[in-house]
Amino acid sequence: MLILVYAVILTFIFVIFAFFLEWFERKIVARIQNRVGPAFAGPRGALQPLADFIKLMSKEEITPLGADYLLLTILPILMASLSAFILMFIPIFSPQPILSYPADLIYIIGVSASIGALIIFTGYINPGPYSNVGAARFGELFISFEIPFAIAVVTPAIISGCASVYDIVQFQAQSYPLILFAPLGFIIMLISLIAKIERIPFDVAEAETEIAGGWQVELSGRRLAFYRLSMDLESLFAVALCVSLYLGGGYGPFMHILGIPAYFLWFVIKLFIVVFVISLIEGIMARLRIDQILRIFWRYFIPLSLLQLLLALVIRFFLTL
Amino acid sequence: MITFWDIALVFIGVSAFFIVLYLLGSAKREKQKEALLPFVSGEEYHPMRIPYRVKWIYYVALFSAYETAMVFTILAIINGTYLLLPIIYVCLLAISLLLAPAE
Repeated sequence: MLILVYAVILTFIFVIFAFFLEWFERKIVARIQNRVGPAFAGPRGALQPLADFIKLMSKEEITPLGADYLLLTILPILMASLSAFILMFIPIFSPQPILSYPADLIYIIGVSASIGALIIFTGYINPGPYSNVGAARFGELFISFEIPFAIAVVTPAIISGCASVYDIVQFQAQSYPLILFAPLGFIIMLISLIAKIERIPFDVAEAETEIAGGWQVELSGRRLAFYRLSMDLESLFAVALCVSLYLGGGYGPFMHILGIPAYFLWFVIKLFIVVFVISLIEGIMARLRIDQILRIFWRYFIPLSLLQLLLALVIRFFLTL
Repeated sequence: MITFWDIALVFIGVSAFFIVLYLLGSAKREKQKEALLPFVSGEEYHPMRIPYRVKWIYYVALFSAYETAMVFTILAIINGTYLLLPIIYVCLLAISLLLAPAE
């Protein structure tokens, strides 16, 4: 039963962490675009995402005519739960995550893909056209970025010879971060995760100026608050996975002096560096059209990720010699 | 060693947290039944169908096959078996990608 208590406490910490990450991203994008960004709620606006969440939670819920009330209520809770659940496999706070077993990468790929499926589902259960178009766009985007993402996740597994995030991080602790072995895989993962968390230039499924928010447009009140929270948690998961698989997790210099706090500190530093790069791309780029995105992923990124897969096999061959 | 029940308990714990959080939010419903219309987007539309092309099914099938290939690869790594079979599978998929219909 102790694991149940741990899970609840960790979920609370992940939610706070996800809000903080959102604030950091918004602040960086605002700076790049010569804006102030969140400024009023809390020190330097750090509590703005939390204030937004509380505001949405207290607003009136509207169920569109023809939408399924029960599904509209269950889906946001399920999506938030799954987004927080897969974070339990990532060693963020200490080298040993709360959940870890030899094949957890399969679990991670499966659960993260099912979150994408829930987004498509949410768009379709709302009968509005913007919502449906947003869902269709996300569906097209999803089958494009998910393949390079999955290959980029499998690449470290091939090189290290283990299929658990914990084992891959330990492999890097004993050798070098896998970004040095597979820089192409890291780039593919970074770009796929930008598409996965629907940030500019891959935000066609929301596209405020074209389809008024896409699959989210019919959502309001608690449901919208929960979807926003789920997206924040998914961002945290995607970035944390990238740090664990390619940047050596929380391992870094001076580990022997500070111990586990140093692990967490290094993990957070790497996490914020990746978020900074994503925010930089988000701040300086314009939204791509859906056909451009499909062309980029199917024509360039999937073949490149296959090339990376073959290179990973060659590296593995030399490592086992 | 993590068991199935540990994973189930963690998922129950996480879900319980979010269910309680959801219930803490305002249960303020629609003020009246008429408030159901129009949609939140402010427009009254009939449900629409998304047009699709048969070609797209090819891409969806490819997507499923690639995901399966990744699962095979991971299973091969765990079992310590030779990676040749998953790689042949991935190579076949690469050929099918070359044959994919262009939009």
